[in-house]
Amino acid sequence: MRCDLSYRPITLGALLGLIALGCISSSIALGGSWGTVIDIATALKGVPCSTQALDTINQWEPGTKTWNAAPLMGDPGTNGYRTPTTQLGVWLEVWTDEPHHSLKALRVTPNSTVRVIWSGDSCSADQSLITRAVDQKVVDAGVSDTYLASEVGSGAPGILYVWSPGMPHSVRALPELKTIAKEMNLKFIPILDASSDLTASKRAIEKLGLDDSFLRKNQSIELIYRGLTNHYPSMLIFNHGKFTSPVFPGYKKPSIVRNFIKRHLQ
Amino acid sequence: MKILGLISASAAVALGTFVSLNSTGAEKPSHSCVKRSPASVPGCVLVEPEPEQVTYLPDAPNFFFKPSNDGSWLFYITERNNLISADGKKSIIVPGPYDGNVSEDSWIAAVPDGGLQIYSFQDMIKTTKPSPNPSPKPGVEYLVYDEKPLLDDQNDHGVYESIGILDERSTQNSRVYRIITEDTGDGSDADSDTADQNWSKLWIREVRVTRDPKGKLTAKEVGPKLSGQDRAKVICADKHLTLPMLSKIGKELAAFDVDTQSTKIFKLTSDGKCTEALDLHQGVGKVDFNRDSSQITFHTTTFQAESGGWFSGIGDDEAKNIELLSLKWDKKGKAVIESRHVLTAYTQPASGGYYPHFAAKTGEILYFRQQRVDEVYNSYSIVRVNPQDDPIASETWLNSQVPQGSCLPDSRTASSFALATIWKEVCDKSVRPEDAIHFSARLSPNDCKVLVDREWKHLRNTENFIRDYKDSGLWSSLKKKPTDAVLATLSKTVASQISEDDLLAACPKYSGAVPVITKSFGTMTRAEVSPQAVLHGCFECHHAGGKASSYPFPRDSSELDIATATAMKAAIEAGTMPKDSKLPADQKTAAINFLADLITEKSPGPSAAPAQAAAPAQSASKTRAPGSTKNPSSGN
Repeated sequence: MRCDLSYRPITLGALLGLIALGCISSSIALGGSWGTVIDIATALKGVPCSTQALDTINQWEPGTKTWNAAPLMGDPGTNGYRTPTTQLGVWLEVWTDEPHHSLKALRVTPNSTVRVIWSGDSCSADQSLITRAVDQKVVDAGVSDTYLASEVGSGAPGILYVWSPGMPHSVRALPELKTIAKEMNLKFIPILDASSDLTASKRAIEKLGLDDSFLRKNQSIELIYRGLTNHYPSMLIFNHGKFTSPVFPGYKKPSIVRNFIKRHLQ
Repeated sequence: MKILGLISASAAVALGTFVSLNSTGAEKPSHSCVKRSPASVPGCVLVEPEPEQVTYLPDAPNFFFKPSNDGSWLFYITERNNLISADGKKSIIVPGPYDGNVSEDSWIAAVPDGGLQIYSFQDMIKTTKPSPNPSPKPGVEYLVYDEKPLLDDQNDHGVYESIGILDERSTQNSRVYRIITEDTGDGSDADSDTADQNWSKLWIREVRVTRDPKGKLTAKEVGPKLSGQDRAKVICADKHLTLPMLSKIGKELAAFDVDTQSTKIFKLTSDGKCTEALDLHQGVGKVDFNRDSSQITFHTTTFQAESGGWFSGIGDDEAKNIELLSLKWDKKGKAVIESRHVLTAYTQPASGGYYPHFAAKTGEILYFRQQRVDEVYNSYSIVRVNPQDDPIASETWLNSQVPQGSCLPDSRTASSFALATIWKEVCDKSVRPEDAIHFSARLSPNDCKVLVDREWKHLRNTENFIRDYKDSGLWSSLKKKPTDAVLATLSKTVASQISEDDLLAACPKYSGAVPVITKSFGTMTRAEVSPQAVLHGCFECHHAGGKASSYPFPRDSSELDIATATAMKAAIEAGTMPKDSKLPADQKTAAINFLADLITEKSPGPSAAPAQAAAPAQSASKTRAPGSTKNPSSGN
């Protein structure tokens, strides 16, 4: 079966069609499961300048396979794909842009984004380096990609759990998760919604008798890209130096949480 | 029109638009926002339609809220369930700890509290019983509703409930409601043979509510007809779903599929199974349906990868914005996306739009808005917008600008091009012409007039205002893209024919508008530039796999030797590095000063081997984009 996309907007409907054609494999469980996986070469087939883009992303991250559809945010007529890399906190994005007949690739890291835009008949490239001026003290005080790389990279099993004082179910589960982690001898890394009100957050943990370690805000690109911050609460399991579960959003009773953790520690 | 700038509590109150503010109820100045719009540039203020209504909440709320069908009442949660009138004048404490919900017809309210309780919503909002502990908030009447529920189902089938009305089994005075909840686990489940016993389950139950001639309601659990069961029923048992939201008509649901890590829309079949209608291919916030399920709305979370950051935390570059999708359903129960509309443009630190809901009766959308006041305090409000008031954010608007079958755009389209060119030339030359169309279409009416009056007479002689768009998709309907010569001629022709009146007629017209806050252009205020961040950018480029990788660059600046640091400093000063991007002046100065200090620190004397330094600088200047077929700056 031919998977010819030619150069037209890849709508979500078309993505469904691609799945039907076998161009996209669905429901593949990965180490650090990351949803529906897209063959990026197939997705970009027929798109002008795709050869250059594929060459670049292959140089950036050789053999990266776990591409997925990026969130819809963006100009109308654009279609985006993104993938984690072997390095925690480093992600790649590719955006097709039919209205402007251009193709864009991004290599996103905590400190900067490298952007290449190919356009025109000759696929001339325009490369930019966008530095991120961050307050390192703020980043270091939170749960950063560097911190996560260290914790996850240690090889020990653990739970990442994002919460927000604005979501009562996420607050309700904090002591439950702490207890489960202790019972199962797991690292427990609570992560506070980066945009949360500090006063409300402090009030919430004080009521539960928890300490300030629960107030470390999310400063990780990896977690934002993985969708952990889409809904509070959400959890993610890690073991053997990598993420071993899909993102699991919503409040669940302890028995379900225990089963989910056991299932994904293996 | 109200131009509010970065909306501060005091300004909002001064304008008399809002009720009350921020997490503690205390008014806080917005002095510490580090991101600013370019509103200070005369003629460059971009706006979006003013919300129909903004209700500032008196307490630090939770993000859950639920509007009544006309948006006049809002459930929200603090340490308990609350109901507030949209004008902010009445605040009612209602039963339950969380997730108060109201049916689309505003007959019933449902509250999960160790089971599910159904109340008369009309009785709730008519309560006159004063709250025993009213907050001293002037102008707000604090009440309490503590009557017994119409129905108290003690079977605990979890939380995250939503309500649909089964029209085919309902009459004017008798309604059947379908209610979905997510069992958070541990529930005994005799009716879920196919369900994964280690997984939370989605339950539905159905309740008939009858209204007598005096308006009094009675409720009775009737059980889902899906399976012949007379009690609650597990649905979608073969799937691993969470965070369900039932459509207003009870026939569809949205949920996050943990296996595919994406939010999906399902059709609920008569046997309790869920057939997939649409995969959004991404995880989004909780979805809400409009009255006939032809539209859905939700929030998405994105990282502002191209923003360049601000002097803040990484977490502050997370943006939550509201999307509206129009769906087209086929007879087989599959849906496709017809159009997409991004309703908000929140990119300020710690600000965003969350958890949108339809006011089903009016088609308006209400969403939860958070705005940072300072490092500690946030301002919380519920905003009501009418998507129909914002034509420019929709794909249909953009499509309407495409010339159909003719090289010569009509005067309205040509005027749009001209406005975009003016805006780009005056406000931000770095913006691509195509993007300038987006931006100029958000010009405030007053600023648009300022620009036209002040600039058109100078700019109308430019040949660029159509030619600049030669590579855009605006000519995609033509068999052959116009040549430069044709476009230049067109520019002249159209420029000579467009009058100031034409341009003024093309200016956006809003009955009310507030500034768009965007990072894509304009000035920004940095508290400080981190030289390490700038140098780290050098590292990223030199380790990005392209030709720059041939010239190793240490991650830690302490590992920089004198020769390399000197070469870098010279290249940055000369503007030859970075090769393919231009450092902003403040970053350039910071990097140069940092390197100078480093060289001084490491150097035994003033001479720093310039001969050795020249090589890497020269080499670095040859850097070009990996995979490119043409060096963009070489002119080849």
